[in-house]
Amino acid sequence: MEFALTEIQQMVLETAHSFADNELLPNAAATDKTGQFPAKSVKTLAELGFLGMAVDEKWGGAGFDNLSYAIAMEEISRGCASTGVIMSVNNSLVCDPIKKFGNDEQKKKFLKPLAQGKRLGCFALSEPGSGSDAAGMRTTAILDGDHYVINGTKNWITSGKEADVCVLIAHSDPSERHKGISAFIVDRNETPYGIGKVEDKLGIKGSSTTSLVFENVRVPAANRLGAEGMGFKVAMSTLDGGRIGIAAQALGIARIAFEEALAYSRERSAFGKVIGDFGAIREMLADMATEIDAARLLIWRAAVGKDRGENFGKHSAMAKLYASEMSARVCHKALQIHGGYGYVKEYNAERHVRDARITEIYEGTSEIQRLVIARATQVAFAKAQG
Amino acid sequence: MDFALDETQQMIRDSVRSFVSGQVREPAMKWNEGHGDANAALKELGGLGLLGILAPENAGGAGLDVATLILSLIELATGDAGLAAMVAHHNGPALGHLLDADFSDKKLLSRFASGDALLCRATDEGQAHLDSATVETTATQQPDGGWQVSGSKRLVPLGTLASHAIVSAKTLGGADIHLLVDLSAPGVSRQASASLVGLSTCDLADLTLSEVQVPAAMTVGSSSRAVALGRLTTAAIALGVTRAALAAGVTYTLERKQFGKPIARFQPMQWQTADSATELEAAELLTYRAAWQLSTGDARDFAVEKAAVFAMEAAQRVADRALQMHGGYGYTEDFPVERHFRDAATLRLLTDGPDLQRVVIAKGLAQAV
Ligand SMILES: Cc1cc2nc3c(=O)[nH]c(=O)nc-3n(C[C@H](O)[C@H](O)[C@H](O)COP(=O)(O)OP(=O)(O)OC[C@H]3O[C@@H](n4cnc5c(N)ncnc54)[C@H](O)[C@@H]3O)c2cc1C
Repeated sequence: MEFALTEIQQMVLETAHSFADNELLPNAAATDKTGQFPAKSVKTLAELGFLGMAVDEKWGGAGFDNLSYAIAMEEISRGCASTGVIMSVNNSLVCDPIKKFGNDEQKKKFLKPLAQGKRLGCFALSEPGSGSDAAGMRTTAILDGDHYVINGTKNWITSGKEADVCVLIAHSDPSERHKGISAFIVDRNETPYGIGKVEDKLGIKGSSTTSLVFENVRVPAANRLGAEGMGFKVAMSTLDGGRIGIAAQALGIARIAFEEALAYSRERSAFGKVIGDFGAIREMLADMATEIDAARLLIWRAAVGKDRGENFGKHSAMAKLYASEMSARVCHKALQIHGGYGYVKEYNAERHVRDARITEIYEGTSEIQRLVIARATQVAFAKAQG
Repeated sequence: MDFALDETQQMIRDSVRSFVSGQVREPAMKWNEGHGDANAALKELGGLGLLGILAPENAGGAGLDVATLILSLIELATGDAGLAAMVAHHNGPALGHLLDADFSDKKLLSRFASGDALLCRATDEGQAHLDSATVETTATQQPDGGWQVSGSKRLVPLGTLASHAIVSAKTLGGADIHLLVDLSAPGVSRQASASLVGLSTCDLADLTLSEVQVPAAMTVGSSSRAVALGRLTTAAIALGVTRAALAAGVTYTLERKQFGKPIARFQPMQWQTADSATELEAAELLTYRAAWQLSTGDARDFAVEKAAVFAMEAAQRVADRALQMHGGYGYTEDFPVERHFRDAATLRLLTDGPDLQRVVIAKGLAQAV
């Protein structure tokens, strides 16, 4: 049992923290207002090696462990939640599956530039008619000679507008459900697909969310990621890891909301004393601080599990469930502590509420996390009983 | 960052675990009334070295770290929280205080560490624990340098079984002082406390001290660690209760059938399972982190208080859900879940309640701004 960070992890923390303080925090409100992709910040992420954190240096990555990734994700999202999700998707949903399931050719062609930040990735699983029930997808990828012909529409795709590499999940055998699903790497430059509707969202406005339209897009068979029929497994194992990133994003948003609320509680006075000395405000702040720590430990537990090659799916579901709901609670309280000022854009409290809310939905809703955790827990107890 | 137990921790945890399944879990169903029943188990635990966990080996103890103490208590509390509360009190706030304060009477120390004698720490007078200004027990210095102590303490764990108590008092000058009082000395009377809703097997007594003479050598230095150990060992007991309640609840849902299938298949049961499992995991991690801090130095960033608040409250939520999972059967004494429910509700008696711990956390946060 040991709860200390290594020197490298500490360095990652400090680097990410000061980048957030100097570059992200001052611009986060403007990013929210304009809805513009934070291109300059993403460029810096690339320079820091934060777009392929847990990818080997051989493949253009920074060679950090997943705990370092979780630490950086928290700090970056503390600075800007939009930048956080762009970073999370590129690391967890694009680099990670290519690292795990890709062959050397694919790693050379795609993983390397993605990890270096020369290209940007997106992950396309959800569709207009299928979200939680991912296997209900309708997009098809039918083998025709040495190409797969892709038809269908993917929905809600983070970085869809800017990304030029897409990890796509589709039915190569529409007569099967899970077993008929395969994964592909689609190069938007070589085999262009259409960008459909760009969503106007509640929060994380600097990150684009678009539909992707595939009409007879012919993707080389060499771009299939993993064996045919393995796509559902690729998607689920990818999301197991992705949940660590999103949990850390939720935690980062909670951190900044808490820090601002704590500072405000020491400045604002009412009834002749600072509001932070009222029992009710104290109680909120103490709970916020406690739950933030609880979430961080759950996230670190999952990240270390991933680093050690353990079966970490239950832990990442717990981390994601707890951190996202914690973040919603903390941001709600942070707004409350600001009173009327929390409801207007002069302060950031209302933005944090909006940004935090998405973390309970994407990469598996809270309901889906509960299903995963309940199943794992029930199986463990059933086994223990024999 | 390493969440795994080391070899010693694992070994001790496993041995306590097998002690609990052999000698605690079943009998505890009948221990519900009267702590007398758990005393034999307490003696055996002394034999296993579990009454001097933190004391160095040359002082007759096991020389283990705070994390190992916490792990042992969690296991014990899965079997019986009241028994665990006694072991926690002796090892943590009581003996932990003497060790931290470098108490000089090594012979006496080794009697406690070996479990030959039990030790308690008497602080509660019915006022806020956090506020030592409210201590009304007085210590008046005598011509020979010794002290004469008068006052009363309530809800002292091990109050009737212990041979000695560390008593907090105020001197005439208003200074805080701790004295190691021989509970067989003239002027000491002890009476079992009013029975509580939970932790029924835990020996709790109210002490009255009238003009009790205490030799100067029995003066004990102050110890902030004693308070931290009190809070953290309570978190450990809460964790044991949480674990037992979760196990009872989930196991029941796997067995009980309604509408032709195990109720475990219904989403409301699954939701409660998921929330309880997640909260247990979070409470464990907070507690382990604090234990690791205390094992390697002093606690930081209110890690102990955060663990205590979270674990105590999680225990209540998880026990409540587990009872609900049992339906009407949860309300009967045929299943252990009603005991877990009562124990969870009583934990705050062993240390400062969650509200007070929040004040400690919040004051610290404000200072750091
Ligand atoms: C901003 C944003 C970015 C996104 N980015 C991406 C991306 O990059 N790539 C991608 O592939 N997807 C992305 N998504 C999609 C996201 O993952 C889905 O929205 C999510 O998985 C939920 O699917 P759904 O919206 O279809 O809701 P549904 O699945 O229709 O769910 C509706 C409600 O029913 C509940 N529900 C569903 N099934 C069950 C069940 N079995 N038991 C209990 N309750 C259930 C859900 O929890 C939810 O509350 C993004 C979404 C948003 C909003």
